[in-house]
Amino acid sequence: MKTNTSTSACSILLLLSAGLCIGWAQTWDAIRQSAGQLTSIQAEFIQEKHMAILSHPLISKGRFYYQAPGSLRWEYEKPIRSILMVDEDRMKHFIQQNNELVEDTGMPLQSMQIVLQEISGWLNGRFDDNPAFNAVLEPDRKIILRPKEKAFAAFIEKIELCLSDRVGIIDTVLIYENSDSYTKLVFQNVIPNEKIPTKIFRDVQ
Amino acid sequence: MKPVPTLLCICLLLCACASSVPRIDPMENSAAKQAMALKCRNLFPTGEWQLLHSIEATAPDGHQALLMGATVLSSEPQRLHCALMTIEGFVLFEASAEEGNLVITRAIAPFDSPALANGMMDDIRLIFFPPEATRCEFGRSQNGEEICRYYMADDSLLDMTIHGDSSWEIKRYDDDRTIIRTVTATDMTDSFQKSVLLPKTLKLTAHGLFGYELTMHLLEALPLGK
Repeated sequence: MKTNTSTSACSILLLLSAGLCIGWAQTWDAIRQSAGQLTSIQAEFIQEKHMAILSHPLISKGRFYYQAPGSLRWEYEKPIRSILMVDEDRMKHFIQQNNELVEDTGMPLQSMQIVLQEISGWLNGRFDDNPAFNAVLEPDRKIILRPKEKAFAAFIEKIELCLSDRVGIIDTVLIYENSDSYTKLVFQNVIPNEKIPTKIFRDVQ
Repeated sequence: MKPVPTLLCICLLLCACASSVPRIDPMENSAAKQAMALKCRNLFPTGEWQLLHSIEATAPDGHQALLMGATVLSSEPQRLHCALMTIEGFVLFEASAEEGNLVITRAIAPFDSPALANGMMDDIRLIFFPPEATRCEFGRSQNGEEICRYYMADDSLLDMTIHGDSSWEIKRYDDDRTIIRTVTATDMTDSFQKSVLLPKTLKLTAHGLFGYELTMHLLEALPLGK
């Protein structure tokens, strides 16, 4: 009897917490409040590049680190190692060339790098106060971002963010360049709220 | 007195550049010529492939950039689709060429000039497709290397030299016989599909005042179709 009661109590608690988790992405206020609890996050990601011309998507793999309020390290390990680091509004981009990481200083900021910078904002729960995108919160924990500027829309048609049932976590990001071409980012082995050493955002290693 | 020798030197240099097509000792035996024609043709990928390269591009002003290039090609019928993208996968240029028609589906500055797009597709064709020549010669260079020489419809000329280790080189000359492109293919590998040799490294040099250089490393090669 005792075991049954405790099992039932556990089940009710689990259901309640699941209900609370599902509820975290129903309103902008709830999202901002939940994201406020997130101090850091690190995860692996798999990036699939889909294009009409490709029979198989192009696969990239990497890892990212985020520390509130705005430090980010976005690192591709395959097929070409490259690292984007944002720390105290300073951004650096390194690319592996001839077995050596070389700082890329010449190229202007690419749209994909703008998206990566946006990720800091998303992890802060700031989806709807972005000057570059109009944000719409849809059912099933989905957020659609569309560029406000026509010129920017020529590069990125829309971005779809699928939020996890775990509070403050994003499961997948879909970046549509047009109807034939999109990039899908899937996050795995997500570790929230664990202290990340500062050097991760400053040193290439 | 001094300007005259300087001018003479420049003229001689220009003459040397313009007449840089090497002499070849032509093959006479028709069976040997056929074998040589096949050998050169077989250095280009046959069937359908999806290739991914890293591309180190050096612009005429010396500016360098690292990009990725996805190429989907079919040798018969000849079809070519290509996309040039940033390391993060953002597409800067996308185009298809089929039966002589070039369709550009995406072109973002600095890849938005039609001349640049045409030139880029010409370069990709030069690298991946055997030349469609009006006349061919087969022979050996002065240092004994095998050469397939293709005379093209636009009066340009193309020399394909095969080295001992199966690596190869293409030199393209314009109608004045001035060299305009060099392609070198090295580190041949059959690890993606047995019996098909693909170069792990390709280097294309566009010569001239607005010359550029592309060094391509093969990251992935997927045979498509049957």
